[in-house]
Amino acid sequence: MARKDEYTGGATAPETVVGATVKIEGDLQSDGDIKVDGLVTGKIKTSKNLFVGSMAKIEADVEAGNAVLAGIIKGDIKVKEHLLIEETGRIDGNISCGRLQIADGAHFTGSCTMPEPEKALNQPLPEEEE
Amino acid sequence: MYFYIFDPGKDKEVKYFEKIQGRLLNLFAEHRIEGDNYRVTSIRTVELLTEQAVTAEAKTIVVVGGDGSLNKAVNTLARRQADITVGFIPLDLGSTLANIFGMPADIEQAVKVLAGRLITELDLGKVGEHFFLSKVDLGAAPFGKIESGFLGFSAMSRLLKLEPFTVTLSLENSYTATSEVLAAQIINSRNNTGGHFRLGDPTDRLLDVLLLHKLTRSQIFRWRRELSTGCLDNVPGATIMHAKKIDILGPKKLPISVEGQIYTKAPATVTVAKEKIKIIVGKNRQF
Repeated sequence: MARKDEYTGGATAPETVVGATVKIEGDLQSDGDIKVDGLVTGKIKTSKNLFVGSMAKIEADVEAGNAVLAGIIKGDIKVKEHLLIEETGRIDGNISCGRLQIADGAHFTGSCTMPEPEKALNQPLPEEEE
Repeated sequence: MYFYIFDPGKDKEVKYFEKIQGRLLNLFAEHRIEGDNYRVTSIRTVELLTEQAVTAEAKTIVVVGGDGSLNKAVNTLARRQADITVGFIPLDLGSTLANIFGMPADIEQAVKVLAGRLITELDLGKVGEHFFLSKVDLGAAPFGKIESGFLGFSAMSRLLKLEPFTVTLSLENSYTATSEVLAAQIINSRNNTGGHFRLGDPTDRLLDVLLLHKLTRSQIFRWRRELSTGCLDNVPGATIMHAKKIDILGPKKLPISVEGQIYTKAPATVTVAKEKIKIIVGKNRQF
């Protein structure tokens, strides 16, 4: 059975995989999915899915379409849609995301901004009854 | 016009080769793809014959020989930026490039594929001044398919001899990746047989970087069969990255080889070449 912190994408490999022994310095950008198990300093950017394993250490600003974070991250995180912080996740930075899920046991230090969906903003406010 | 280059190589017996050449000429006639036929000799090399084909304005060059012969012809064509389609009839059963392009080992089937003229334009990788179709190996011991032997023990003894080294790469001038590895490859195309993932698409204008981290003896034992396929990414945790340009920064003097032949040493740059090559491929191609 796959462990919770394992990538379970089936037969399709994430397009970029940073192994546990790899140290990346600079801007790691991809048009596809990224999986990080090693060390990254700089910036991570993908419009698709980002998976940060429990052994990963990241000192970088992160931008992704969706993200599952199980490692240590120091930096601001901007996720367009769904962000999941696993129980082993340690986040030190500000978060901006569409939907947020934090597992029991996860650490999160920083502020969180969740942009309102446009529909909700356009709806008229209910009139107050006297 | 078809321009056939027959390269018997060094290890083929003349009688055996002449028999194959005769059979091929009959098959070419049968499929109406006859052309000019030339045999490689010590003074009439693959490169010279390819130059001759370019000058003669051949539309298709067909290399009959090994992977090395095809690589030489492709290099000459890429340097000349010649718009000539290339066909390949492998004479080695274990031809990597034939497997990638879906060319059957049986020459009768191979001629059928050739006559079918399914043409694909493929990327070429470039290391220094050398163009390559398949992959570049980093390190003293190039990593390829290994006969796994009884219970995979032959593969294991080969793998145990690999010495780990720390490699530093710069990708797209955007980031550097450093890791202690057992093997490292930069792939344009590869034989994915036995691989868990499909890598090395020679039409995507990208090179795939594969790094296999250092393994303990017990890990080598555990993954011996997966590694014997030659696909490093079969081992969990292997690193996969993609780039058009990769600078191999270190270690200094690290041998960089294509198909087992060392072409340069680090520091070196590997890129997707702006030149492309048109190849006749089969339906069982790997991309």
